[in-house]
Amino acid sequence: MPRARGLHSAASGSASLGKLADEELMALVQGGDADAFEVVYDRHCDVAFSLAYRMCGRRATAEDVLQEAFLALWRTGARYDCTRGSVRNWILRIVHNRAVDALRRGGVRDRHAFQEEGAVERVAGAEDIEEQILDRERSEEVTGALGVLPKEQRRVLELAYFGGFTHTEIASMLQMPVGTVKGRMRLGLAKLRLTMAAEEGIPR
Amino acid sequence: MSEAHDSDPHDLPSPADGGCGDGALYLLGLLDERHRRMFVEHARTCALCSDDLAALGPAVEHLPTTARQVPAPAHAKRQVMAVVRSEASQQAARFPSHASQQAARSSSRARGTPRRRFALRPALALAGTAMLAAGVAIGALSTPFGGGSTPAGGSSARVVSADVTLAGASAALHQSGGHTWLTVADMPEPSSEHVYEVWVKRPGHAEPQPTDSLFAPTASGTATVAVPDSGGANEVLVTQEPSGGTQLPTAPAVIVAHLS
Repeated sequence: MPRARGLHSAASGSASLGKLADEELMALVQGGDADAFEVVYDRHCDVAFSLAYRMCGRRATAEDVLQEAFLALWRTGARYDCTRGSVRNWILRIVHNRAVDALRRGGVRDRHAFQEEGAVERVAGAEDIEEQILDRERSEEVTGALGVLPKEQRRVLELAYFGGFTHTEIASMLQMPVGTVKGRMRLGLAKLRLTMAAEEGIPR
Repeated sequence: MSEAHDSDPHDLPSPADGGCGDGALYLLGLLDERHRRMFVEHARTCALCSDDLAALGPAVEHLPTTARQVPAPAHAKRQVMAVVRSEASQQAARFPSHASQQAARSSSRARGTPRRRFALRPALALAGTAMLAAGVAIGALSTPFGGGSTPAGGSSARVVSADVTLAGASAALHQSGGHTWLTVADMPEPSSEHVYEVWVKRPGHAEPQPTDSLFAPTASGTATVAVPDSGGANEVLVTQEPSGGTQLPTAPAVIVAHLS
Protein backbone atom coordinates (compact mmCIF):
# COMPACT_ATOMS: atom_id res chain seq x y z
CA MET A 1 0.00 0.00 0.00
CA PRO A 2 1.39 3.44 -0.81
CA ARG A 3 2.22 5.66 2.11
CA ALA A 4 -0.37 8.22 2.92
CA ARG A 5 1.74 11.33 3.12
CA GLY A 6 2.65 11.47 -0.51
CA LEU A 7 -0.95 11.34 -1.51
CA HIS A 8 -2.10 13.69 1.16
CA SER A 9 -0.55 16.78 -0.31
CA ALA A 10 -2.08 16.03 -3.66
CA ALA A 11 -5.44 15.31 -2.22
CA SER A 12 -6.20 18.23 0.02
CA GLY A 13 -9.81 19.23 0.03
CA SER A 14 -12.91 17.12 -0.12
CA ALA A 15 -13.33 17.62 -3.85
CA SER A 16 -9.91 16.15 -4.55
CA LEU A 17 -10.50 13.30 -2.18
CA GLY A 18 -13.68 12.44 -4.00
CA LYS A 19 -11.70 11.74 -7.14
CA LEU A 20 -9.45 9.19 -5.50
CA ALA A 21 -9.98 5.46 -5.78
CA ASP A 22 -10.93 3.55 -2.65
CA GLU A 23 -7.48 2.02 -2.40
CA GLU A 24 -5.85 5.46 -2.47
CA LEU A 25 -8.27 6.72 0.15
CA MET A 26 -7.42 3.78 2.38
CA ALA A 27 -3.77 4.77 2.18
CA LEU A 28 -4.79 8.15 3.55
CA VAL A 29 -6.99 6.57 6.19
CA GLN A 30 -3.99 4.56 7.24
CA GLY A 31 -2.27 7.87 7.85
CA GLY A 32 -5.12 9.08 10.05
CA ASP A 33 -6.92 11.24 7.50
CA ALA A 34 -10.48 11.66 8.76
CA ASP A 35 -11.59 13.45 5.59
CA ALA A 36 -10.50 10.49 3.47
CA PHE A 37 -12.34 8.17 5.81
CA GLU A 38 -15.48 10.25 5.42
CA VAL A 39 -15.36 9.79 1.65
CA VAL A 40 -15.01 6.02 2.09
CA TYR A 41 -17.92 6.08 4.53
CA ASP A 42 -20.13 8.01 2.14
CA ARG A 43 -19.39 5.62 -0.71
CA HIS A 44 -20.16 2.43 1.12
CA CYS A 45 -22.42 3.20 4.07
CA ASP A 46 -25.66 2.38 2.27
CA VAL A 47 -24.70 -1.08 1.05
CA ALA A 48 -23.14 -1.79 4.44
CA PHE A 49 -26.27 -0.69 6.29
CA SER A 50 -28.44 -2.68 3.92
CA LEU A 51 -26.49 -5.84 4.64
CA ALA A 52 -26.61 -5.23 8.39
CA TYR A 53 -30.34 -4.54 8.27
CA ARG A 54 -31.01 -7.62 6.17
CA MET A 55 -29.13 -9.76 8.66
CA CYS A 56 -30.23 -8.21 11.94
CA GLY A 57 -33.80 -7.37 11.00
CA ARG A 58 -33.83 -4.46 13.43
CA ARG A 59 -32.93 -0.95 12.49
CA ALA A 60 -31.30 -0.10 15.83
CA THR A 61 -29.13 -3.22 15.78
CA ALA A 62 -28.19 -2.59 12.17
CA GLU A 63 -27.12 0.94 13.08
CA ASP A 64 -24.94 -0.39 15.87
CA VAL A 65 -23.38 -2.89 13.49
CA LEU A 66 -22.78 -0.20 10.89
CA GLN A 67 -21.07 2.07 13.39
CA GLU A 68 -18.98 -0.70 14.91
CA ALA A 69 -17.88 -1.85 11.48
CA PHE A 70 -16.81 1.55 10.22
CA LEU A 71 -14.99 2.37 13.43
CA ALA A 72 -13.20 -0.95 13.08
CA LEU A 73 -12.33 0.09 9.54
CA TRP A 74 -10.97 3.38 10.83
CA ARG A 75 -8.94 1.76 13.58
CA THR A 76 -7.64 -1.21 11.61
CA GLY A 77 -7.32 0.38 8.20
CA ALA A 78 -3.63 -0.44 8.21
CA ARG A 79 -4.54 -4.09 7.80
CA TYR A 80 -6.22 -3.53 4.47
CA ASP A 81 -4.35 -5.23 1.67
CA CYS A 82 -5.48 -4.19 -1.79
CA THR A 83 -4.06 -7.38 -3.31
CA ARG A 84 -6.65 -9.41 -1.39
CA GLY A 85 -9.78 -7.70 -2.61
CA SER A 86 -11.64 -4.45 -2.96
CA VAL A 87 -12.27 -1.99 -0.16
CA ARG A 88 -15.99 -2.52 -0.62
CA ASN A 89 -15.76 -6.26 -0.10
CA TRP A 90 -13.47 -5.76 2.87
CA ILE A 91 -15.99 -3.43 4.48
CA LEU A 92 -18.83 -5.83 3.80
CA ARG A 93 -16.87 -8.67 5.36
CA ILE A 94 -16.40 -6.58 8.50
CA VAL A 95 -20.11 -5.75 8.53
CA HIS A 96 -21.01 -9.39 8.03
CA ASN A 97 -18.77 -10.54 10.86
CA ARG A 98 -20.12 -7.90 13.20
CA ALA A 99 -23.68 -8.73 12.30
CA VAL A 100 -23.08 -12.43 12.94
CA ASP A 101 -21.66 -11.52 16.34
CA ALA A 102 -24.72 -9.37 17.03
CA LEU A 103 -27.05 -12.18 16.03
CA ARG A 104 -25.26 -14.59 18.31
CA ARG A 105 -25.38 -12.13 21.15
CA GLY A 106 -29.09 -11.80 20.47
CA GLY A 107 -29.67 -15.41 21.40
CA VAL A 108 -30.73 -18.58 19.71
CA ARG A 109 -34.42 -18.02 20.16
CA ASP A 110 -34.29 -14.75 18.30
CA ARG A 111 -32.26 -16.23 15.49
CA HIS A 112 -34.63 -19.14 15.12
CA ALA A 113 -37.19 -16.66 13.92
CA PHE A 114 -35.19 -16.68 10.73
CA GLN A 115 -35.77 -20.35 10.32
CA GLU A 116 -39.46 -20.12 10.94
CA GLU A 117 -40.51 -17.03 9.11
CA GLY A 118 -37.53 -15.30 7.64
CA ALA A 119 -35.31 -12.54 8.93
CA VAL A 120 -38.03 -10.00 8.47
CA GLU A 121 -39.96 -11.59 11.31
CA ARG A 122 -37.19 -10.73 13.73
CA VAL A 123 -38.91 -7.39 13.98
CA ALA A 124 -41.50 -8.87 16.28
CA GLY A 125 -44.02 -6.36 17.52
CA ALA A 126 -42.44 -3.48 15.69
CA GLU A 127 -44.24 -0.30 16.50
CA ASP A 128 -42.49 1.93 14.08
CA ILE A 129 -44.62 2.38 10.98
CA GLU A 130 -41.69 3.19 8.74
CA GLU A 131 -39.94 0.05 9.81
CA GLN A 132 -43.03 -2.03 9.14
CA ILE A 133 -43.33 -0.57 5.65
CA LEU A 134 -39.69 -1.22 4.94
CA ASP A 135 -40.02 -4.76 6.16
CA ARG A 136 -43.04 -5.40 3.97
CA GLU A 137 -41.22 -4.12 0.96
CA ARG A 138 -38.23 -6.18 1.86
CA SER A 139 -40.22 -9.37 2.20
CA GLU A 140 -41.48 -8.95 -1.34
CA GLU A 141 -38.04 -8.95 -2.83
CA VAL A 142 -36.17 -10.81 -0.18
CA THR A 143 -34.76 -13.25 -2.65
CA GLY A 144 -33.54 -10.76 -5.25
CA ALA A 145 -30.85 -12.34 -7.36
CA LEU A 146 -31.10 -15.42 -5.20
CA GLY A 147 -34.44 -16.04 -6.83
CA VAL A 148 -32.73 -17.90 -9.65
CA LEU A 149 -31.78 -20.67 -7.27
CA PRO A 150 -33.84 -23.71 -6.40
CA LYS A 151 -35.61 -23.13 -3.11
CA GLU A 152 -33.55 -25.62 -1.14
CA GLN A 153 -30.27 -24.09 -2.28
CA ARG A 154 -31.47 -20.57 -1.66
CA ARG A 155 -32.64 -21.50 1.80
CA VAL A 156 -29.33 -22.86 3.02
CA LEU A 157 -27.45 -19.88 1.59
CA GLU A 158 -29.80 -17.41 3.23
CA LEU A 159 -29.60 -19.20 6.55
CA ALA A 160 -25.82 -19.32 6.36
CA TYR A 161 -25.01 -15.89 5.00
CA PHE A 162 -27.83 -13.70 6.23
CA GLY A 163 -28.89 -15.79 9.21
CA GLY A 164 -25.41 -16.36 10.56
CA PHE A 165 -26.09 -20.04 11.18
CA THR A 166 -23.39 -22.67 10.88
CA HIS A 167 -23.79 -25.59 8.53
CA THR A 168 -24.37 -27.91 11.48
CA GLU A 169 -27.09 -25.66 12.86
CA ILE A 170 -28.74 -25.54 9.46
CA ALA A 171 -28.56 -29.31 9.16
CA SER A 172 -30.26 -29.60 12.52
CA MET A 173 -32.95 -27.06 11.62
CA LEU A 174 -33.74 -28.57 8.28
CA GLN A 175 -33.26 -32.12 9.54
CA MET A 176 -30.89 -33.19 6.86
CA PRO A 177 -27.31 -34.50 6.82
CA VAL A 178 -24.52 -31.98 7.11
CA GLY A 179 -23.12 -33.25 3.83
CA THR A 180 -26.35 -32.35 2.10
CA VAL A 181 -26.22 -28.83 3.51
CA LYS A 182 -22.63 -28.43 2.34
CA GLY A 183 -23.54 -29.72 -1.10
CA ARG A 184 -26.46 -27.34 -1.46
CA MET A 185 -24.34 -24.42 -0.41
CA ARG A 186 -21.73 -25.23 -2.99
CA LEU A 187 -24.26 -25.88 -5.73
CA GLY A 188 -26.13 -22.70 -4.89
CA LEU A 189 -23.03 -20.55 -5.06
CA ALA A 190 -21.93 -22.19 -8.29
CA LYS A 191 -25.31 -21.55 -9.89
CA LEU A 192 -25.35 -17.99 -8.64
CA ARG A 193 -21.92 -17.47 -10.15
CA LEU A 194 -23.06 -18.88 -13.47
CA THR A 195 -26.08 -16.59 -13.46
CA MET A 196 -23.91 -13.59 -12.69
CA ALA A 197 -21.54 -14.50 -15.48
CA ALA A 198 -24.40 -14.86 -17.93
CA GLU A 199 -25.83 -11.49 -16.95
CA GLU A 200 -22.48 -9.80 -17.24
CA GLY A 201 -21.57 -11.58 -20.47
CA ILE A 202 -18.51 -13.08 -18.85
CA PRO A 203 -17.19 -16.34 -20.32
CA ARG A 204 -17.70 -19.12 -17.80
CA MET B 1 -15.22 -14.09 12.03
CA SER B 2 -16.47 -14.65 15.49
CA GLU B 3 -14.96 -17.41 17.51
CA ALA B 4 -18.50 -18.27 18.39
CA HIS B 5 -18.96 -20.31 15.25
CA ASP B 6 -19.08 -23.53 17.15
CA SER B 7 -19.74 -26.69 15.27
CA ASP B 8 -19.88 -30.37 15.92
CA PRO B 9 -16.26 -31.51 15.58
CA HIS B 10 -17.43 -34.52 13.62
CA ASP B 11 -18.70 -32.27 10.87
CA LEU B 12 -15.60 -30.18 10.53
CA PRO B 13 -12.75 -30.90 8.19
CA SER B 14 -10.31 -33.39 9.56
CA PRO B 15 -6.58 -32.77 9.63
CA ALA B 16 -6.25 -35.69 7.25
CA ASP B 17 -7.96 -33.98 4.32
CA GLY B 18 -7.49 -30.38 5.45
CA GLY B 19 -11.13 -29.73 4.76
CA CYS B 20 -10.92 -30.57 1.08
CA GLY B 21 -14.10 -29.48 -0.65
CA ASP B 22 -15.11 -27.00 2.05
CA GLY B 23 -14.47 -23.91 -0.05
CA ALA B 24 -18.08 -22.81 0.24
CA LEU B 25 -17.96 -23.05 4.03
CA TYR B 26 -14.75 -21.05 4.06
CA LEU B 27 -16.13 -18.34 1.80
CA LEU B 28 -19.34 -18.07 3.79
CA GLY B 29 -17.33 -17.63 6.98
CA LEU B 30 -18.59 -20.83 8.57
CA LEU B 31 -15.25 -22.28 9.62
CA ASP B 32 -13.84 -21.47 13.02
CA GLU B 33 -10.36 -20.04 13.23
CA ARG B 34 -8.54 -23.35 13.56
CA HIS B 35 -10.30 -24.97 10.64
CA ARG B 36 -10.09 -21.82 8.59
CA ARG B 37 -6.33 -21.84 8.89
CA MET B 38 -6.26 -25.52 8.10
CA PHE B 39 -8.32 -25.02 4.98
CA VAL B 40 -6.24 -22.07 3.79
CA GLU B 41 -3.12 -24.17 4.14
CA HIS B 42 -4.77 -27.03 2.29
CA ALA B 43 -6.07 -24.88 -0.54
CA ARG B 44 -2.58 -23.68 -1.34
CA THR B 45 -1.74 -27.08 -2.72
CA CYS B 46 -5.14 -28.42 -3.76
CA ALA B 47 -6.11 -27.48 -7.31
CA LEU B 48 -9.73 -28.49 -6.74
CA CYS B 49 -10.20 -26.24 -3.72
CA SER B 50 -8.19 -23.43 -5.28
CA ASP B 51 -10.47 -23.52 -8.32
CA ASP B 52 -13.50 -23.64 -6.04
CA LEU B 53 -12.42 -20.50 -4.25
CA ALA B 54 -11.85 -18.66 -7.50
CA ALA B 55 -15.18 -19.77 -8.93
CA LEU B 56 -17.40 -19.32 -5.87
CA GLY B 57 -15.79 -16.22 -4.36
CA PRO B 58 -17.54 -13.73 -6.65
CA ALA B 59 -20.90 -15.31 -5.84
CA VAL B 60 -20.38 -14.78 -2.11
CA GLU B 61 -19.27 -11.21 -2.75
CA HIS B 62 -22.49 -10.72 -4.70
CA LEU B 63 -24.73 -11.85 -1.84
CA PRO B 64 -24.85 -8.48 -0.02
CA THR B 65 -26.35 -6.86 -3.07
CA THR B 66 -29.30 -9.25 -2.94
CA ALA B 67 -30.48 -7.44 0.17
CA ARG B 68 -32.83 -4.55 -0.34
CA GLN B 69 -30.81 -1.37 -0.39
CA VAL B 70 -31.74 0.90 2.51
CA PRO B 71 -30.07 4.29 2.99
CA ALA B 72 -27.92 4.50 6.09
CA PRO B 73 -29.33 6.94 8.65
CA ALA B 74 -27.66 10.34 8.75
CA HIS B 75 -27.20 10.35 12.51
CA ALA B 76 -25.07 7.22 12.25
CA LYS B 77 -22.57 9.12 10.17
CA ARG B 78 -22.55 12.03 12.57
CA GLN B 79 -21.74 9.75 15.46
CA VAL B 80 -19.07 7.79 13.61
CA MET B 81 -17.39 10.92 12.29
CA ALA B 82 -17.42 12.59 15.72
CA VAL B 83 -15.43 9.67 17.09
CA VAL B 84 -13.17 9.47 14.04
CA ARG B 85 -12.34 13.16 14.13
CA SER B 86 -11.63 13.12 17.84
CA GLU B 87 -9.30 10.16 17.42
CA ALA B 88 -7.66 11.80 14.43
CA SER B 89 -7.02 14.88 16.58
CA GLN B 90 -5.56 12.70 19.27
CA GLN B 91 -3.28 11.04 16.76
CA ALA B 92 -2.29 14.40 15.36
CA ALA B 93 -1.33 15.57 18.82
CA ARG B 94 0.85 12.49 19.29
CA PHE B 95 2.49 12.77 15.89
CA PRO B 96 2.44 16.46 14.97
CA SER B 97 4.59 16.20 11.85
CA HIS B 98 2.46 13.39 10.49
CA ALA B 99 -0.69 15.44 10.71
CA SER B 100 0.73 18.85 10.02
CA GLN B 101 -1.21 19.26 6.81
CA GLN B 102 -4.49 18.32 8.41
CA ALA B 103 -3.74 20.76 11.19
CA ALA B 104 -3.12 23.42 8.60
CA ARG B 105 -6.56 22.77 7.19
CA SER B 106 -8.17 23.11 10.58
CA SER B 107 -6.25 26.21 11.56
CA SER B 108 -7.30 27.96 8.40
CA ARG B 109 -10.88 27.40 9.42
CA ALA B 110 -10.41 28.47 13.02
CA ARG B 111 -9.34 31.87 11.91
CA GLY B 112 -8.84 34.54 14.48
CA THR B 113 -8.15 32.20 17.35
CA PRO B 114 -7.25 34.49 20.22
CA ARG B 115 -3.72 34.67 21.50
CA ARG B 116 -4.79 34.82 25.12
CA ARG B 117 -6.35 31.41 24.82
CA PHE B 118 -4.21 29.85 22.17
CA ALA B 119 -1.85 28.20 24.62
CA LEU B 120 -4.68 26.54 26.48
CA ARG B 121 -6.55 25.11 23.59
CA PRO B 122 -4.24 22.32 22.43
CA ALA B 123 -4.05 20.91 25.93
CA LEU B 124 -7.78 21.06 26.31
CA ALA B 125 -8.37 19.54 22.93
CA LEU B 126 -5.97 16.71 23.66
CA ALA B 127 -7.55 15.98 27.01
CA GLY B 128 -10.95 16.12 25.46
CA THR B 129 -10.24 13.80 22.62
CA ALA B 130 -8.42 11.39 24.90
CA MET B 131 -11.44 11.15 27.16
CA LEU B 132 -13.78 10.77 24.25
CA ALA B 133 -11.71 8.00 22.76
CA ALA B 134 -11.29 6.31 26.10
CA GLY B 135 -14.87 5.85 27.02
CA VAL B 136 -17.40 8.47 26.27
CA ALA B 137 -17.35 7.52 22.63
CA ILE B 138 -18.89 4.22 23.60
CA GLY B 139 -21.88 6.04 24.96
CA ALA B 140 -22.11 8.23 21.91
CA LEU B 141 -22.11 5.18 19.69
CA SER B 142 -24.95 3.41 21.31
CA THR B 143 -26.98 6.49 22.07
CA PRO B 144 -28.03 8.78 19.26
CA PHE B 145 -27.98 12.47 20.01
CA GLY B 146 -31.18 12.04 21.87
CA GLY B 147 -30.09 12.23 25.45
CA GLY B 148 -30.22 9.72 28.23
CA SER B 149 -27.66 7.98 30.34
CA THR B 150 -25.20 5.49 29.00
CA PRO B 151 -23.02 3.27 31.12
CA ALA B 152 -19.54 2.90 29.71
CA GLY B 153 -17.18 0.28 30.93
CA GLY B 154 -18.65 0.20 34.37
CA SER B 155 -18.04 3.89 35.05
CA SER B 156 -20.84 6.38 34.80
CA ALA B 157 -20.90 8.12 31.43
CA ARG B 158 -23.73 10.37 30.40
CA VAL B 159 -24.85 11.82 27.11
CA VAL B 160 -27.04 14.91 27.26
CA SER B 161 -28.76 16.25 24.19
CA ALA B 162 -28.58 19.97 23.56
CA ASP B 163 -30.99 22.46 22.06
CA VAL B 164 -29.57 23.96 18.89
CA THR B 165 -31.03 26.95 17.11
CA LEU B 166 -29.01 26.49 13.92
CA ALA B 167 -31.02 24.65 11.29
CA GLY B 168 -29.85 21.10 10.72
CA ALA B 169 -27.16 21.18 13.38
CA SER B 170 -27.05 18.94 16.43
CA ALA B 171 -25.00 18.84 19.59
CA ALA B 172 -24.54 16.70 22.64
CA LEU B 173 -22.66 16.88 25.90
CA HIS B 174 -20.70 13.87 27.06
CA GLN B 175 -19.84 13.55 30.73
CA SER B 176 -17.54 10.99 32.25
CA GLY B 177 -15.21 10.94 35.22
CA GLY B 178 -15.92 14.54 36.12
CA HIS B 179 -15.10 15.78 32.63
CA THR B 180 -17.47 17.24 30.09
CA TRP B 181 -17.09 17.38 26.30
CA LEU B 182 -19.22 18.94 23.65
CA THR B 183 -19.65 17.33 20.24
CA VAL B 184 -21.40 19.11 17.41
CA ALA B 185 -22.47 17.99 13.97
CA ASP B 186 -23.59 19.84 10.87
CA MET B 187 -22.60 23.16 12.39
CA PRO B 188 -22.10 26.03 9.96
CA GLU B 189 -18.85 27.94 10.04
CA PRO B 190 -19.03 31.05 12.20
CA SER B 191 -19.21 34.38 10.45
CA SER B 192 -16.03 36.03 9.28
CA GLU B 193 -13.78 37.09 12.15
CA HIS B 194 -15.92 35.12 14.60
CA VAL B 195 -15.61 31.89 16.56
CA TYR B 196 -17.93 29.80 18.69
CA GLU B 197 -17.39 30.29 22.40
CA VAL B 198 -18.44 27.84 25.13
CA TRP B 199 -19.95 29.16 28.36
CA VAL B 200 -21.09 27.58 31.62
CA LYS B 201 -23.91 28.89 33.74
CA ARG B 202 -24.30 28.14 37.42
CA PRO B 203 -27.35 28.47 39.66
CA GLY B 204 -27.57 31.90 41.26
CA HIS B 205 -25.51 33.58 38.55
CA ALA B 206 -27.35 35.86 36.18
CA GLU B 207 -24.71 35.69 33.48
CA PRO B 208 -22.85 32.70 32.11
CA GLN B 209 -19.13 32.48 32.73
CA PRO B 210 -16.68 32.20 29.83
CA THR B 211 -14.52 29.11 29.35
CA ASP B 212 -11.29 28.72 27.44
CA SER B 213 -13.02 26.72 24.72
CA LEU B 214 -13.31 28.53 21.42
CA PHE B 215 -13.83 26.54 18.29
CA ALA B 216 -14.71 26.44 14.62
CA PRO B 217 -16.15 23.24 13.16
CA THR B 218 -14.43 21.17 10.51
CA ALA B 219 -15.42 21.37 6.86
CA SER B 220 -18.01 18.68 7.49
CA GLY B 221 -19.46 20.66 10.38
CA THR B 222 -18.18 18.57 13.28
CA ALA B 223 -16.16 19.52 16.34
CA THR B 224 -15.29 18.04 19.71
CA VAL B 225 -14.27 20.43 22.46
CA ALA B 226 -13.72 20.17 26.17
CA VAL B 227 -15.98 22.10 28.52
CA PRO B 228 -13.65 23.07 31.37
CA ASP B 229 -14.83 24.25 34.76
CA SER B 230 -18.25 22.71 34.30
CA GLY B 231 -18.50 21.52 37.90
CA GLY B 232 -21.64 22.85 39.49
CA ALA B 233 -22.92 24.22 36.21
CA ASN B 234 -26.53 23.65 35.29
CA GLU B 235 -26.21 24.86 31.70
CA VAL B 236 -23.61 24.83 28.96
CA LEU B 237 -24.08 27.40 26.21
CA VAL B 238 -22.40 28.26 22.94
CA THR B 239 -22.52 31.66 21.33
CA GLN B 240 -20.88 33.15 18.29
CA GLU B 241 -18.39 35.81 19.32
CA PRO B 242 -15.74 37.98 17.73
CA SER B 243 -12.36 36.32 17.29
CA GLY B 244 -10.60 36.11 20.60
CA GLY B 245 -13.77 35.55 22.52
CA THR B 246 -15.46 37.83 25.00
CA GLN B 247 -16.02 37.95 28.74
CA LEU B 248 -19.78 38.33 28.36
CA PRO B 249 -22.00 36.98 25.60
CA THR B 250 -22.69 39.46 22.84
CA ALA B 251 -25.09 37.23 20.91
CA PRO B 252 -27.90 34.79 21.71
CA ALA B 253 -26.89 31.22 22.46
CA VAL B 254 -26.98 28.87 19.48
CA ILE B 255 -26.51 25.78 21.67
CA VAL B 256 -27.96 25.24 25.13
CA ALA B 257 -27.54 22.02 27.11
CA HIS B 258 -29.20 21.57 30.48
CA LEU B 259 -27.14 19.55 32.92
CA SER B 260 -29.70 19.30 35.66
